[in-house]
Amino acid sequence: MSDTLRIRMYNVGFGDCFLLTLPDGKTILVDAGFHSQGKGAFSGNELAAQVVADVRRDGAPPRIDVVIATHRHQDHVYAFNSNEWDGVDVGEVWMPWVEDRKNKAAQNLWKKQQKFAANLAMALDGFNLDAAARDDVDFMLWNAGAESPGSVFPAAVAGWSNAGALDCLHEGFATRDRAGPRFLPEKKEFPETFDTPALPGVKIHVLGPPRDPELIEELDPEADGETYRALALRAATEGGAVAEAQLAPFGDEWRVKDDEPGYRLDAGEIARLKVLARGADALAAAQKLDDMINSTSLVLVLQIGAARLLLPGDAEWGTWKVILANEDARALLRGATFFKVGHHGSHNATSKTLVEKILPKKIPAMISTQEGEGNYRNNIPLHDLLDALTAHDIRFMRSDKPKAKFTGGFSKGTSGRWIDLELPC
Amino acid sequence: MRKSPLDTTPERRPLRIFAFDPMLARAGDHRVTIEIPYRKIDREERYFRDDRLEVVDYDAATQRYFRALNLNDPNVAMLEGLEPLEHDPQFHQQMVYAVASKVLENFDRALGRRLRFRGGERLRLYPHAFQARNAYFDNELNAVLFGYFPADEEDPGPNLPGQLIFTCLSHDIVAHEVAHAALSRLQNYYNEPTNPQVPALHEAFADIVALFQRMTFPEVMAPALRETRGNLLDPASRLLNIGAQFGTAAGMGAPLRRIAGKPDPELFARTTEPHELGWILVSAVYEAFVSTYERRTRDLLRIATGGSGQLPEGELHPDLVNRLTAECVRTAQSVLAMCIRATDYLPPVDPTFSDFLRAMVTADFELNRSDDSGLRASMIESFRLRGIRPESVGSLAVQSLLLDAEDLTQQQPDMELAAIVGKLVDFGARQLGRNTAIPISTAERPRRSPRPISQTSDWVAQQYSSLTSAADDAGPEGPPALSEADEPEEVLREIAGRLTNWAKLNIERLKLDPGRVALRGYHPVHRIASGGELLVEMVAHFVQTRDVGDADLGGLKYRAGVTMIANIDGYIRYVIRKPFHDQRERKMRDWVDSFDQATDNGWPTEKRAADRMLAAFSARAMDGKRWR
Repeated sequence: MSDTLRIRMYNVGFGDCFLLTLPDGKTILVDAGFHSQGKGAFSGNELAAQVVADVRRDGAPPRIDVVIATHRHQDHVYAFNSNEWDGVDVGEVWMPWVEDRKNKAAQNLWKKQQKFAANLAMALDGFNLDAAARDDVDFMLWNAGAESPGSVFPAAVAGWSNAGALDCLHEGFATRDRAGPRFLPEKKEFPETFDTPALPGVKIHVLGPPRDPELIEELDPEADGETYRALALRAATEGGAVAEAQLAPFGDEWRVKDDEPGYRLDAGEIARLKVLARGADALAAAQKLDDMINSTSLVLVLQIGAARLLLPGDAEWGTWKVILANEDARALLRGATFFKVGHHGSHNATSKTLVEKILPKKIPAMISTQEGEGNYRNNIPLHDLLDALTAHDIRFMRSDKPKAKFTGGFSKGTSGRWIDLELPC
Repeated sequence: MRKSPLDTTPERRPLRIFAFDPMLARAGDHRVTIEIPYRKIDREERYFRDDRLEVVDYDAATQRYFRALNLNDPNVAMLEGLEPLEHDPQFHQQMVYAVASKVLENFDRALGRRLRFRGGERLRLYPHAFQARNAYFDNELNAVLFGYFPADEEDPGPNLPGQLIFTCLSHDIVAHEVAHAALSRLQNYYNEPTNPQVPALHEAFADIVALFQRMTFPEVMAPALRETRGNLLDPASRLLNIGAQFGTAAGMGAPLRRIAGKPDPELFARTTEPHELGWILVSAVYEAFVSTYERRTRDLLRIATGGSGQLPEGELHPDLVNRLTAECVRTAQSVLAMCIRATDYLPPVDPTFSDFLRAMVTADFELNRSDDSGLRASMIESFRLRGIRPESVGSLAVQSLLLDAEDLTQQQPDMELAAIVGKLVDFGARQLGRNTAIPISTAERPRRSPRPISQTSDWVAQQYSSLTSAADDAGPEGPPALSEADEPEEVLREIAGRLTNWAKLNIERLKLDPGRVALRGYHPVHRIASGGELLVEMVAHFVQTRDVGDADLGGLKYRAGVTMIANIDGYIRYVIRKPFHDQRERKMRDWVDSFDQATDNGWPTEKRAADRMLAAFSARAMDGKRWR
């Protein structure tokens, strides 16, 4: 048994897909997704096919011991639509607790999220956004599993959807040792630590998402009631599908007819009230949707021998705030020997304190990212963050712009389709 | 009682309302009739209004007017208004008008003057302004906007899924929002969240007004006291829920808030969330109310129980219930008046709970030296139990809680000040007077067209621009005189001009810093003390703003201010200061820092909105959370 494990970062463009191979040959897949705008090294079935090929052992059917889906964004789960997975044996599937289909509050939340996203998509034409803003909103909507009618980001693959990917994670694959997925964290205690027969000798520490009702409250798109309702109203009426009278709180018998003489509000008042009742900031709404889903990300520390892998998905500040406030959780982070940089290196997902004050120096890090146009991706990856990593001696490797020299355990995969890291453990 | 056949103008107007949210009121006995001062009502198809309130039922969500209620119709008037019904928009109009009138009446009574909105403009009420689970005061429209929304499809509570819920049908929400509007008028800088207790105070104050106003309705209190056998802290009592229907319809499964609870003195120090912080203040006031009520009714219980004071099992005697109700209503009215009156003794900027406690105690002391009911002492005690301490005061005795009065023996009366106060109280007396026509006609400025907004996010900046314009943009000469468009009442314009000049010449007397001063409010006061004497004074607010250079305060300004209370002889009775102080400035910066640290990851290139503090604690955002 060698004393190194291998982390393979597939170059998926804008998305995440990591395959971990442990010294005993056990395999862990962390996410398999890409954005339709990702333009990575893989399209359609190719990513799944590559992963399946990488977990095939001589003579045996392909097997992944643990499949982890950190959160339901397309750029993390889209490839689970592929039928390649039908032939893969799986030990366990792990997902954040809000994916538990038996949790009524969580299901209600997802329904509202879907409604919110769909309404935003429906109403989008009426906002007269400039091209860049429209592009950003479409980008985020697609990622959330909703497409707007005029979107420039149609489904990358016919028949693939967010729901399809989730179905695969809940019920797919050839066989499973553990019938249902684990929904993490399973208990209230924080941080939660468990082990599993699927990964002998490995300890799993769960640092996120927070498991309290306040998270649900934060994730509720109706928390901003005005935006939620304004979008519903605009989605219903602006396409002409529903007459306004149907949405009015009282029938026409109560109404003052337009041609009746007498006092009226002045135009300025009407205009202002209209903005307050029907105005919504489409870009902010899309951003909010994006943040809400990121906030459901699993944050794991996998303790494999001497190695401690920090895999934070795309967790945002809300989750980090809880983690950094906890002594035990901080201690786990201080011992990290590898860091998967969250959310493609955006400002949202990595706290300055984490990089500068908590993580140890000289550890390797990987950023699966793709620099691109548009406001949303302008700051991805964030230069402040890259500079801070460098200043802190964290040796990071980007998927889109790998360093010219591969040293310190990093190595380049076949025709740049992935990057490997050998990590002592 | 009238004295001649010509005298037919009624004094009071009875109107029916829901005292509890309709969801709770289905049981039946919570439709009550309240009496508000009779005011002449003008009406057209799209509005009705009296001299201070105006109801326009325009729904901006579906862009239509609903026909205005006609309270002058004898068929409506003779039945004490329309029957409370959830699906009758004209009843909704009646409800907001009645509750808002009652709130304003309570302010008038407590303050000893007629509350006048800026420029004499009417406060407008839109009972169905938009579709959302919110209601808020919009400074720019000088209006309260009430939302409505369908009950949660998945988790509607006792409502039907998709059934429309109207915020304007909740007495507590209407009263809460009108109280916000009134406080914004009295102390408009309290809309700047310069420390966490400022937005908390705004919320708590609005809750106190809503809660205690409801407790002044005998028709509500009598059944409640019967059910709880006189126990006002009974956690099962519906009395203690504020805006109950909201919490349930919003899918939270429980009424918003309950009042009863054990005080935890540590809680105050570690709480920063304004609603929770405000909650501590409300519960302190409520507990003081309860202990005063219990003290006042102990004798009744002894009389009713042959001296034991131990109530027997079973129903209370109806006469006892009525007497308990009378005491409860009287106490609630005193608490309400005490809290509202405190606003006159607060500094004009950056208030804290400590300031509120001291203002409340001082205002009450001025009117009621002996504290026979013990309400003042109870108030001090229940604040103490919650760890709300007077700042920079040696002990908790009433004496040191009192604000420092100016030493009259060391003063010469200021004749100009005397003349100003005289003019102002003369104006106030005519507005308040019983025999000076109803009411003395006061010029009102034409309603202004609001400034346009293109996005909801513009709303925040606008709400605060009225706070900054006059005080900050003034040159070395100070702010320009009020124009006729700002204040149509000539005598008030004159007073403002003279008072501004007076302040310029008396900066040291006001203990302000040299430099420009903005006059931000001046109010006449006519109060009747417990001994029957008249307290006739002027309350005036002066504000200074200091430049903090490039410091990013999230939209906040660094201000100091003084509330001056002067009497008609030209003596200054109180100078209530919130001076510039390094420590206070540092605290404000720390507050912005901790807000930022709690909000984002801390990368320098992250764009933080310039007015993020204002946005986070705006009326719209705060009430959005409140009624969620």
